[in-house]
Amino acid sequence: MQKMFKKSKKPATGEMALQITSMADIFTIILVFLLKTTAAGISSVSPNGGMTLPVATGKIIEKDTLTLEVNKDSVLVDSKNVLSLSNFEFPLTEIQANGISQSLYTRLIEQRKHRPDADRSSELLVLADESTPYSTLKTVLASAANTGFVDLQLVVVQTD
Amino acid sequence: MSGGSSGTDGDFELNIAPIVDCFTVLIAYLLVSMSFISLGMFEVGVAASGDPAQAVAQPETPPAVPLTLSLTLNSSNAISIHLTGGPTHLDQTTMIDPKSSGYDLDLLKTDLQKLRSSYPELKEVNITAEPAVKYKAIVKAIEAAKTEIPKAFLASS
Repeated sequence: MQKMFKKSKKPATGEMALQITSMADIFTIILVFLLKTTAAGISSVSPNGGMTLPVATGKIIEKDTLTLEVNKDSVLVDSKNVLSLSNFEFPLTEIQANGISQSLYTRLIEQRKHRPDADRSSELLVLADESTPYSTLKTVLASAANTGFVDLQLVVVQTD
Repeated sequence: MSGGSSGTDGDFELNIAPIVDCFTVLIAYLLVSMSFISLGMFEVGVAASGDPAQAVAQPETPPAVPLTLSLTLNSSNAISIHLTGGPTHLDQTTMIDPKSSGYDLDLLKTDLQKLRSSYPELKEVNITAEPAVKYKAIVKAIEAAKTEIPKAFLASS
């Protein structure tokens, strides 16, 4: 790129000229690198603040899927708060006889209607805090399964 | 970063200062917006819940019971491996005792490897846990199980 531009002459005065073409070269390389890195990543999935995902080796997330987040204080579907939890515990009135959460079930049904592939979509991206007890997770799983989301993708912090 | 002037001797001089300005803004934006942790995922199914369907009429010969492998994570850091069904109507349970740092996942992998070599038709594992078991331990167990058994299911009931 440097050869494309006319080289600036050294000024006769005592002022120092900034070699802007070299800077442009460096910036181009950094920009290409960053754009490539961003494109390869999964920028669409980002856990909310305060959540610690478990660490494991996992596959790369390839497509946009409905996300369900479980943290200490709340359950979110598509980044929207569905219900509040008290230290990972569902409110007692929330759990139905078949083990599902009524609010979560209703929200997932609504979300299913809005998905482009409403009839076939069975995938759900689950982001849960690593301290979530299985009792809470079970309620979430039961609610998801009852709305047809049976293929779960558990999001983890990837290791080598 | 001020702009340069056009040449007077016919040579065209590209004014790259605004380009560098744009690059600076773009790089700053990308650096701020990019995530420095790499996220991955595990594919798991949700094991069927609810009451089993009632048979209308009993067939003359009972259908073959499929071989089922279940893992149960106890809150005391022990793992129970339960193998049922198959042509010989197996019903065997193996307990993996906890180690000082938690669940003995290395032993779990070894046991699953042995089971897989003995029963190559074993392609699914159902994973369940006691209510107090943390999600972190469940993910670690799924990770260990999936190294030997291709498909994992999490029990929802």
